[in-house]
Amino acid sequence: MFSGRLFAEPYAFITNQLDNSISVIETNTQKVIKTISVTGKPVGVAVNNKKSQVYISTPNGGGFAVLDSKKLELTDRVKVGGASLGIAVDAKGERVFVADWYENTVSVFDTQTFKLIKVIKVGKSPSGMMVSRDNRWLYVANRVDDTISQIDLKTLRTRNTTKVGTHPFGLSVDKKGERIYTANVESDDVTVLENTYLKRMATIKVGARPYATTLALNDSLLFVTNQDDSTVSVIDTALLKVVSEIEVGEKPEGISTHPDDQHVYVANWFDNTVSVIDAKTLKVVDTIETGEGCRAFGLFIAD
Amino acid sequence: MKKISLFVSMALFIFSAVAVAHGPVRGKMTATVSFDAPADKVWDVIKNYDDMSWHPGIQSVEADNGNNKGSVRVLTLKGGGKITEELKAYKADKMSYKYKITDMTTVNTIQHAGQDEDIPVLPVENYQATLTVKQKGAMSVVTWVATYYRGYVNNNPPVELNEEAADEAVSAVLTAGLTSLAEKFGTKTNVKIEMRR
Repeated sequence: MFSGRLFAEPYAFITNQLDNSISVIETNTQKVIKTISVTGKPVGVAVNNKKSQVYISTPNGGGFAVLDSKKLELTDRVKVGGASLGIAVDAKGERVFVADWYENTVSVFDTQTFKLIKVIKVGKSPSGMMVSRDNRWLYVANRVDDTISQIDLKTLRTRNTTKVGTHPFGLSVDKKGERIYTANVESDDVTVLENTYLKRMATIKVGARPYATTLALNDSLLFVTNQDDSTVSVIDTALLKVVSEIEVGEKPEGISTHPDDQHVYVANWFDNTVSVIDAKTLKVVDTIETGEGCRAFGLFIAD
Repeated sequence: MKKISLFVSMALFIFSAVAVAHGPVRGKMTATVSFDAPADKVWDVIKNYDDMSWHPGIQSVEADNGNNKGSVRVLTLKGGGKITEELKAYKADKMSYKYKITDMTTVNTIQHAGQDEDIPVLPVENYQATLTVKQKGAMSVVTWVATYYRGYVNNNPPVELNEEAADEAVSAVLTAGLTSLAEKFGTKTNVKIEMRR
């Protein structure tokens, strides 16, 4: 009886790339309760639950925007060179990492002052990023290099780089920090790595042009958006096999799991909608209208 | 006069610098036409994946599996060249189908940044489109939505493979097809094009 957690208002922050706005979905009611204007073709999202902030990367706006995740307002804009795309926050909410598509770097900012702490050289066209829950590692997908970089968050240096499939874009790390999953756009597969030596454990075929991934139900299932098939592949992480393919909207891209660990949200770029999947039944239970060209690349649901 | 041209070239420079920094971005072009006709009659004309005789730019079509998902068709263009497409979804109840270009013939090869670059017959990359008919009152609304990247995936595209070249070519294909379709139903009307990137 006491196992059920109660969430006041988990919001999903959906970037509408073509509309220059963010749709805020209240997940209790599955309704867009606010649209926040953010110029610069917003793409990436990272939620900082500790500081009640949301970071939005704006590839055309030279950096990222900061939203207050309670007041649902734009509070700051931070300049970064080049074209910011992937964005992630550390487990303590103290540092935000911004990948630059052309500079081949990850810039690290302090979330209190928004001062630049360091610029880390990574592989070519860094895109998806995620921090392990123990706050030890940052993983970066280097799209054009077909590699994953593992960055030590104590020293802010690259510890290891390894080959995965062709053009990795989004990635996920499990709760224990033991496995890394990458969606490889050009080879239509997912690479599974273990964390110690970044050894490749498996390569799993999915649909056409996979974009991003998310884990649900205590990391037992991995969900992968297949842009060109309008589907989500579901991988059983014990079997390392695709167990289901769910039809969603057209050009599904960003994907994130609700704090309830059961509902998976998918941004459909072409349809301007978000599909909500129940991970237990593997069915779409809701479709929510957003703005044009919703992308929501990153962890976009607040606790 | 000098000042003005300097200003214009500065403005162009800034604009192109921004475009370059952005790199290849997927664009979405929506072509729409409305005319007085029952939607099911319009659908009858366009519904067969292996028949594009309603499009003036296409000489012939051959498909290997009719209107079934995965069916591959080869379009032979009147101006020369071939485009190969795969049927990604077919929804008869919604009067809609979706396809993707999987191969194209080359019309030209240019030198750019020290490399040979093939110019495909449609200068785009990762092209996917959906063709849909909807009934609105007495009118049929036909929507043809194409999503694609410019033909050049790296920074600093040649003019043959930049966004303008892609948009111009795609716009021409969609406009010619929908104009001709409306004419089949006795309506001379303008095709509305909306481009977002």
